[in-house]
Amino acid sequence: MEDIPSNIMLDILSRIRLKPLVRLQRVSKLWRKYINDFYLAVMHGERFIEEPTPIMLHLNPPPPKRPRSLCFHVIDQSRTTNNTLVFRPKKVPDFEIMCKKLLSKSSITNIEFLGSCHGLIYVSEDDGEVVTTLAVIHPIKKQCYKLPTLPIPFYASQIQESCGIGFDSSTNTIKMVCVVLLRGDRPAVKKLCTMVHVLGTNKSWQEIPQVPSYPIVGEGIFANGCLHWLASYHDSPTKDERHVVSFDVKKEEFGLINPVKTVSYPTKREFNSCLCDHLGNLNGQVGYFCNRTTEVWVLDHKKEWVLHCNFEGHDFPYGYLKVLGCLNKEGDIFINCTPSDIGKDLFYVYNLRSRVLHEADFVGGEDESETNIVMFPNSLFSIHDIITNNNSIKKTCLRKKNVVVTGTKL
Amino acid sequence: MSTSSSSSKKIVLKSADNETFEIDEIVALESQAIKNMIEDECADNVIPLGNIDSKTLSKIIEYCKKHAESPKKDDNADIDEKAVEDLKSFDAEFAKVDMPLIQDILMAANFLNIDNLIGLMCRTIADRIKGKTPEEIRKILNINKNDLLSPEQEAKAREENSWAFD
Repeated sequence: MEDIPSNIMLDILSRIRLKPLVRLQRVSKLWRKYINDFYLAVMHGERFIEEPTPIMLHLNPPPPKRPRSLCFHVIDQSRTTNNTLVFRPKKVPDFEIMCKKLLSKSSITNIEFLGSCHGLIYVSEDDGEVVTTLAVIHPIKKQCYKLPTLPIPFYASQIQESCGIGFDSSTNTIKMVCVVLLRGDRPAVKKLCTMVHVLGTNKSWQEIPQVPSYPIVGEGIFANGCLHWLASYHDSPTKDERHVVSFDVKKEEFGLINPVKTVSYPTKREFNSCLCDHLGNLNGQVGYFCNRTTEVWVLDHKKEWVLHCNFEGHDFPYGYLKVLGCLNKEGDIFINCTPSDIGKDLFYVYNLRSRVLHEADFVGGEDESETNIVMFPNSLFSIHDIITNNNSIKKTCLRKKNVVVTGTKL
Repeated sequence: MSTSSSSSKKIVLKSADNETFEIDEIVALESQAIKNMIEDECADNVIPLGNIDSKTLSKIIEYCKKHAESPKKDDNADIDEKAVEDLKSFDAEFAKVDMPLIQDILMAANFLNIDNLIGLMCRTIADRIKGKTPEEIRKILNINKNDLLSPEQEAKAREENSWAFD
C-alpha cells in the first residue's frame, strides 16, 4: 500500500465520510499525513456535504457581569420514546475562549460570535464601541489565530458593517473580508471601505478598491465561492425588501442579488418589516428567512431565489424566529423562537420531506440567560492546520482541571 | 452497438511476463496514455507494458472492451437507462476480486490513465475499509507496521476526534 501514489491515496480517502475518515488518522503516520493534507480537505468538500453539529455558545459569567470567557458546548441529540427530538448541551464546555485581561476595573470587554466557515469560527472582542480584536478559532485543534489590528475603526454595533471568512480555491487560502462604513464629518456622505486579510500571511490588511453597493450587516454566509450578507436595512431603497450583497472570494468582486419576492401573505406576526429577515447556511446553500411570511428561500446557481419551504399554518408564539440551519443531510431545518414575552426559547425541527414542523425539547442552558445556538460546519478543514506556516498561532491550555476544558486566549 | 469488424485497426499489448494481447484500437483508446502514444505516432505495432503482468492486463482489457462497446454518456443526451444499468452491474461484478489484484489494477489503471477504472478501484477500496478499525485496515491493506503512530501522536489524534466527531 505504501507504493500507491499520493493522488490515488487522496482519491480513495476523499470517498470516505468525515467521521470515519478522521478516525483513520490512527492507521499509520502516512495516513495521518494524508488526512491532514489540505488538498484532501478541498476534494472532500467537493464530494460531500457533511452534517453540521449544533453548538451552544454563552458568555461566562452571563451579562450584566463582565464576561471572562465565551464557552462552546456541543449539543447532543436524542429521541424520547414518543419520538420527540431532545437537544441537550454538554454540561462542561468543549471549548472556551478567554477574554483579554482588562487594563482597569472600569473598562469593558464584550466577546461576540460572528460566524463560521469550513470548520472555523470567528469572533470579535470589543470595548463597547469599537472592535479591538478579530480572531479565527479552530475549535478542534484548539488554536486561535489573531488577525492584525484593523487600521480603521470597526464599530462593534455592526449596524452598517460586517465581515466574513471565505475560501479561495485558486490559492487554497482563507480570506477575511471587512466592509466598514467610514464616518466622515458630514453624516450624509457615506463612504465604504473594504479590507481583506489572507490568513497565515505576514501581510496585514489590504484595502481593495471594490466596495459593495450598500453597507452590509449580519453574518457572512459562505457558499459557492462567495460570501453573502444582507444589505443594511437603513440604507435599503425600500423598507419592504432587502438586497443581498455577494463577494467573490477568488476574484475579490462584489455583486448585488435581487431581493426575495415573497409570495405568501404576511402572517399575523408582529414582525412587519424586513428588518428581522436573516441569511443562513442551508447545507452549503445560502438561505434567506423572511420573518413576516415564515418563508425560506434559497439561492440557486443562477443567483436567483427559489422558494424552499414555509412554515405557514404553524402557530408560533409571538416572537422572533431564527432559522439556525440544516440539522442533517436530509435538509431538516432547525428553528429557534425567542418569544416576545421573555418566556423560554422554543425549538422546532421542520421535516423537509413530510413538510411537518415538530417542536423539540431543549434540556439545559436555562441558567445561561444569553445563549446562542449555532450550527458548526463540520468539514475536513476542521482538522487541518490552516495556518501551519505561521507562528502567530497561540496554543494555550488555560485550565487543566478537566481535559476537555481548554481555552484559547485572545 | 458497434462490434469490432475485422478491418478495424489492431493494437498489440505485451505484458511484463511477455504475453501478448491483440485488441481493437478502439478498446486501447480507453487508455488516455495509449491514446496519446498513438496520436503522437510513437506507438509501434506492439506496445510493451513492462510493469503490468498478464493477469492484471487481461482484467484491464476486459474492462476496456466493455466500456468501449457501451455508448458514451456524452454521445447523446437521452442515453438508454438499460445500458447504464448494464454497465453498472458489470462494474460491480468486475470489482469482486481480492485486494492485491485490486491494487494491481489500480496501479496499472493509473499508469495507463484510465479515468473510470481508477475511480471504480478507488471506490472499491474505500467501500472495503468503511467501518473498519485502524487495526483491520492495516491488515486488509497490508500496511507496514513500522509506520505506526507514536503514543503521543496517537493521543493527539484521539483528542482531535473528541470535539464534534464522537
